[in-house]
Amino acid sequence: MATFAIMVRVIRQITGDKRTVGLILVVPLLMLTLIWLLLGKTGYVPTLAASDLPAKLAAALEDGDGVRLTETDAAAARAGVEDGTYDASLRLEDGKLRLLFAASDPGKDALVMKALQTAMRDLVPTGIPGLLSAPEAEYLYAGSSDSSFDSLGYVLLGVLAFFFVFILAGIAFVRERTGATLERLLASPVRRIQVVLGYTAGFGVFATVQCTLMVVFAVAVLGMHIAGSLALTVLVMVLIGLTATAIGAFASIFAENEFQIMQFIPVVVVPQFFFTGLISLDTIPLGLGVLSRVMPVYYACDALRLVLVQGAGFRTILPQLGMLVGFIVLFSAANVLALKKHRRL
Amino acid sequence: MIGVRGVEKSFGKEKVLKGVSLDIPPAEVFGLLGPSGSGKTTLIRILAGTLAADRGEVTLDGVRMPRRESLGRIGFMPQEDALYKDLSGQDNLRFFGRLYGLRGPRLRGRIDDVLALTGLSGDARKRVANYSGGMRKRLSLATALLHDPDVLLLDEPTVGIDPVLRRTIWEEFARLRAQGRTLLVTTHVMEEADRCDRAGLLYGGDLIACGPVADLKASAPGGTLEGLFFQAAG
Repeated sequence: MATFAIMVRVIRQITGDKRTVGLILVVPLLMLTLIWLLLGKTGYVPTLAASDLPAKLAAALEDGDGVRLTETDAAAARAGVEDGTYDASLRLEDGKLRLLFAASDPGKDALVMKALQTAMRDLVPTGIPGLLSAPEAEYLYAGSSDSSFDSLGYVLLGVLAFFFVFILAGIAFVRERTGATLERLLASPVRRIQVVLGYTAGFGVFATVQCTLMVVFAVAVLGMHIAGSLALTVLVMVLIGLTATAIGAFASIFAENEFQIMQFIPVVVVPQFFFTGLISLDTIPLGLGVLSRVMPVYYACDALRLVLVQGAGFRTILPQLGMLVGFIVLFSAANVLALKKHRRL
Repeated sequence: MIGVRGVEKSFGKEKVLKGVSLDIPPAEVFGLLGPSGSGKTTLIRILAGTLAADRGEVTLDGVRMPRRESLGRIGFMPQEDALYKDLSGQDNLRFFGRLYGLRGPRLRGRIDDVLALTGLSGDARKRVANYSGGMRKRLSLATALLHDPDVLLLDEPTVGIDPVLRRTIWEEFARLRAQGRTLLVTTHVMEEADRCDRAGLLYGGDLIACGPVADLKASAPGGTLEGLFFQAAG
């Protein structure tokens, strides 16, 4: 009863404030759209220097309109890539196609690769030797990356779901403390666990609405590829939303006002963003990649990657879901204990 | 009804209550008087169970507090407004009423009663953020009265309320007492003490005097309660 009353109140408080509703429902969609635009299709045509290419392939590339082709010798092509005249160079060496990029630029690199693959597909029936194997990509300055919205989308879904709920729950709890309503709440016969459960349920409802909207928007409007189940995706996101509720409420213990909740963003949210798989965890120096094991967003993004990219089922992501539930229980228990400061019952 | 035995409380190094003992019988309006910082709010929070005493005990009908089961018999009005400003007055009452187990027609009836009593019936649907200071104070009082508790702990209930409504509210306190309710009211306005049956005077964390208001006045230098504080201040 008390749990339900608190849940209803939390929902009423959120729906009563149009800005908060906007923050929960519209802003994540705007951010997804923005990043989709930044990573997605553009009208840009990259420049490609070709040397020693079979005439048929060069012609196919020219016809494909995917790149602006300049035929030149190998040395000039390399120099051109170095000074930025060309986005990439392509040559046939020892029967293999070799691509050279300046530095990893996911947008441009992907466009060049796509144009090349299209041209090669057209040529397959003619059977030019060496063209059946995939081209080798080299980078002048940095390693390769195949990032694009499809392979980054899952990170964004996980991080956005965590970020907004964390802020809202943290602020709601800080207000409850500073406004003395928490004291009045605890002067009633309510149980401390009912307070925590009520908050979790209230924000859980919003996390569910927000996450469903985000996933449906990403798939239906932005055309994000999703290999696994939609419902499973939403489940993972709701769990990360509930984790954010518990951690936000926990952070509020150490905050005296709303602004101090904002100060937790670089401490709590940003590091988790880095450890989501955005940067390959195996390549992080000093073995710092293991830090991801204590970060809820890592498990959420890992589960989202498995579902969205690899089409994994419920059983496969059970360990990740288990960790998320563990975080929720851990921080909720800490919150119940923290309320002892006000009342020992 | 309410028993306080040797209650001590410190915040850091500062000792706010230095062993306070008092008894409040049922059906009485007890005034807790004292200047700012004398420990009134600390004592009332300990009675409400939202703050634990370092030493000593509080009992309600002989049962040691705080007990969760007994909290439903207490109505607590904190000094701060302690309201959800982004909700309407009605929604605030509805929420706190449900916490005390009220529901359905009884909840609606009680909400109408306390709104009428505090003169807020016409403003029930407004958001508390748009309330004036006095209106918030009244809504806070309405919230404490909502579940019709046996014991009312009211921390500065009439601060910022205009004289006409203040009189209405004190008349309501007298009516509640006539129904057998026990009220503990803190104030630093000495005139309000005249409306109490008995009063306790807190000064620097000590209860310097406690008894029927008329007796206290008779014993005071100059015949006013202020005289007792001046005496204590030396």
